[in-house]
Amino acid sequence: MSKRLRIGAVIYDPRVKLIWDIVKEFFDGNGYPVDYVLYSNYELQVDALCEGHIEIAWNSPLAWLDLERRTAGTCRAVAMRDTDRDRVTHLLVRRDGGIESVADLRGKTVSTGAYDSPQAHLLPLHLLRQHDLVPGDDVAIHRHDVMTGLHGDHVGGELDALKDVQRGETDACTVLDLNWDRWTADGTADPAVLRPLVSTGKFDHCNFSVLADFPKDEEERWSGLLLAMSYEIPRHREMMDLEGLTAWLPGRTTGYRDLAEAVDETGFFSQDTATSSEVSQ
Amino acid sequence: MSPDQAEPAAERRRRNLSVDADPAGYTWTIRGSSAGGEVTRLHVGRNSFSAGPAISFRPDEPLPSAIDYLLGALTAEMVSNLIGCMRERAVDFDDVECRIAGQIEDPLASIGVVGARGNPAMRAITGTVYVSSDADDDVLKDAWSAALRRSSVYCTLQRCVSLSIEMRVAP
Repeated sequence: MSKRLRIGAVIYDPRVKLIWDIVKEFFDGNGYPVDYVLYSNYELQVDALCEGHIEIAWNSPLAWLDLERRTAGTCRAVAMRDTDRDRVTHLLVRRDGGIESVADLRGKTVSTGAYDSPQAHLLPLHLLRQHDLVPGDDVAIHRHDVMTGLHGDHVGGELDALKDVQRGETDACTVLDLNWDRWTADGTADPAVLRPLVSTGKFDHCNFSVLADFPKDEEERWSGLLLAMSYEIPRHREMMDLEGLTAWLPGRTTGYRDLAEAVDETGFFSQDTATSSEVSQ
Repeated sequence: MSPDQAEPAAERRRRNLSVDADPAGYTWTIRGSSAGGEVTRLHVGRNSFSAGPAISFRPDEPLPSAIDYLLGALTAEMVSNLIGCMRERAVDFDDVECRIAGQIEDPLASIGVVGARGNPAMRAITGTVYVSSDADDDVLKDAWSAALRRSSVYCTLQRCVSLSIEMRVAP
């Protein structure tokens, strides 16, 4: 591979560009020159990867499934963050709300993040279906479609959902475990007021994706370098803190089953976003 | 020296100044070059200075970006012209400070994000010039108005961006 390898990433905040400046600086300094291309949404990025405009895409889990669909499962996940593995989403309720089980949500309203957020909408609704509750029919869904196209990267929708429950406007909300930990630590959420009612099964999040024709030896070389980045090195830590990890790990695809089921249940890639019985803010 | 002898000298002086007979035709020129990195070396007259990237969102950027220089040019002009106008009015002052802030319409467009649909132009520039002086307020306001009227960067930007800069007398 003689040309500079191009990595695609989706950003909504220009300050995040610094992450990719540091990644580029690292690879260039280790004899593997790369460039990055920034996209405003995941659909454009998956298009770009499929059309050969980039060689590696930093994909959300939903973008990964989209890529799998478009490549008949031949694509590969070559790396991911330590924090991308084994996440869960909590369904949070008020301690004084009288809701003691998932079944108690029947007839209630659940606030969620954006329609294309795996963690704050697709997976928790999948959880409801697993408990024989049909979203929109058995349980009203109050969705916050903040910055769609970013697959929930922007936590605005999730935060808005949390605030609905805090104000007592809805009965439950969907929050990623990492966000729950952060918001209880910084005072955004009070665990004396809210508690997790139930959590989804474990799922994986983002990965660096490549097409089938990406050379295996390049994959080994590139991912080997990436995994050599260390949280102990200040410049790497600066990037890792921005991107939310402490280590890069090999890619795996065993953690997308529930999301794949959720996507199949809803026909996500073949229908419009909102169902008639969901309310979008 | 007779008028006939003086005229050639005057002609020689005009040629040596290399200024067009029409002052409006004066042209400022600046040259910039780069060997491929993110540093542009700029040369104007006898001065040389360096600029970093066209735009940066990093607080620790080693060199001013083009946007920094744009806002810096306005800031320098505000300070310089206000001082000039106060001196013309024999106004005593201790200090002049100017703070300028600018916003871009679509920052993602300014860094070339594929799919960004907005405009990378400046959306708004605001600022305040603080002057420490015991002079009469009316005199200071007169000096400030005069400074704005003669400020080329200010008047140029005023034509194309929401621009609001006020003067305040610091205690």
